[in-house]
Amino acid sequence: MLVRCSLCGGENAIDPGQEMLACSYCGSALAIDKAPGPEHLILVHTRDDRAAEGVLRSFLIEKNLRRPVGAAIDFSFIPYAMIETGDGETSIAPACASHVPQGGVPYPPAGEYRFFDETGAPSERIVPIDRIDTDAIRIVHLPVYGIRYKAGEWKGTAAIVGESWQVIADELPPERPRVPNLGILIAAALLFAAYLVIGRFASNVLGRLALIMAASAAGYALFTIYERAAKHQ
Amino acid sequence: MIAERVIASAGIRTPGGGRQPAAPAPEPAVAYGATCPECGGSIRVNEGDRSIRCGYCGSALYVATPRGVQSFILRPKITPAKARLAAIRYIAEKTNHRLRTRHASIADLKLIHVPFWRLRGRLMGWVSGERTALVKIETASDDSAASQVRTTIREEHTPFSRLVFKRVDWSAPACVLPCLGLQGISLRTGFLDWDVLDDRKRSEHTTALPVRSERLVRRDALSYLKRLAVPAGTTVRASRFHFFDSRLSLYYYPVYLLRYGFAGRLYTITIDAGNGTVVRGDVPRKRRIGTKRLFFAPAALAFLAATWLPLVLIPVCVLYALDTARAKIFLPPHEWLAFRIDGILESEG
Repeated sequence: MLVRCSLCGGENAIDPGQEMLACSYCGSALAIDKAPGPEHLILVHTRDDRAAEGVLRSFLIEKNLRRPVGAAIDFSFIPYAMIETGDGETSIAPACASHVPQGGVPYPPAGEYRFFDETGAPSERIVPIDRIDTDAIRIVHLPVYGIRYKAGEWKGTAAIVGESWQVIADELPPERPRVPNLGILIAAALLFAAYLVIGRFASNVLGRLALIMAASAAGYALFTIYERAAKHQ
Repeated sequence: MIAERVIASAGIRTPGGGRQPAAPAPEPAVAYGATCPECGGSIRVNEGDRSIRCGYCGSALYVATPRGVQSFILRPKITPAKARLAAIRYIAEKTNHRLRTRHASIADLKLIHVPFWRLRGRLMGWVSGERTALVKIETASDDSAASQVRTTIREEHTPFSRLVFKRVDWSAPACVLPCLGLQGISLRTGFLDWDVLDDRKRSEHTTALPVRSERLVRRDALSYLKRLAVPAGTTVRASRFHFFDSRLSLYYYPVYLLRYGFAGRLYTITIDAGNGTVVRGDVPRKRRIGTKRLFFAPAALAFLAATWLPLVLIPVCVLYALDTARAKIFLPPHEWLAFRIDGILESEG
């Protein structure tokens, strides 16, 4: 898009949403009275499939869900429109119909934003804009990884936003079965056996109860003293 | 002596108040340049500038109606290596030296400039209403023989009004960043050397996009300050406030975001790039044994088993039946037992 310098008349090329420029003929600092259309930016990001897979794995581990296996990763820059609502809040909505991840919208990540220039666009797939809200103040092409993966028998998809590494998913795999710590299990079994042996020394129920209670209380007290001493050290 | 001059509103109006000649009809947009009314030299007006100095004749110029808000940026005071070191120390300290550099792998370290809205000015106004206080009243009984004292607590409403004169320095994040940890920067801004952010060089910095509009920020700030002006326990009936000399600006504060992995999980640490302190950090939690349960649960079971063995099996079977009925699916007994034992003996801490 071209704008004319009010001082020398020279024509200068500007990006959508650009408000200030230096005239390439006379060097004057120029302000554009009304920027043509919403600002159009792209978030610079280098594709890293391994990092995206690591983020998904971390997300599922955190939620104690089944681990992903056999991930197929797809990467594209998806356009989102930032819209200013009547009360001054800014919301974000997809500016295209296809390739939009289901299950939520991303918050704009922190990163290196550049004016979108089709000639200098990255080699990765750029999803075209096919709808723009009239109230949109900015269009941002965000890097989004689409991941198809399996978790046991379960199959599903998730999207990960580059730079912020936000995970968007509308469905999640089932919970991972809990595996008890073997060491603790052995310790509990040994204590059980020890209490059983101690209980045998008593002839009646009350005596047995007293002996076992005393043994467990002594064991607990000794362990607490040892733990406090270790912490103090 | 430098004379103050009134110049164009960020280059749109001429000193005489008239507009620059309109651009030809087919042109979609016109870029206006501002010239110094004193010498005619071209001048640059940044967003939110209220006063500037002409680069040619040195005249001090006043911008009648500034456009946008002024933005400032702080250059990081610490290097990425120092940020990394601060994060490693933080991890070791928070995990009682359980986790060291060799255990955790640093995934990435990124410097970002986080935008904060800062509003300065003077708040003036008045507020009136009712102050509610609880009053303890002791009444002695007339009967001298009984000598009883009755205590009653009553709510007492007293009229209240106050004039408010307050110097305001308020700030809040202008973006959405879940792992930020910083709430505001108004206190520290006075002690730091900020550079004016040049619009042309904005893309050279790694920044977060502001998502809260000027209007919303002003409204939020005003409602927050109104709350501060009113003492606790007061019901406000009427109030009126005004901001004077208000100046809203954007401050881009540098922070390092470090992500590291441990046992398959990723954690984030935020390091203040202004002073190198860790402002927020996630560290792996240690799975701790529920010590009491470890000692007393086997004791209870041992007592039941020593008394009569089926006493152990009956409650286990009842619990399994209840869990299966609640889950409405068949639970494999070994998985259920593992889940239950894990739940009893271990707890996160």
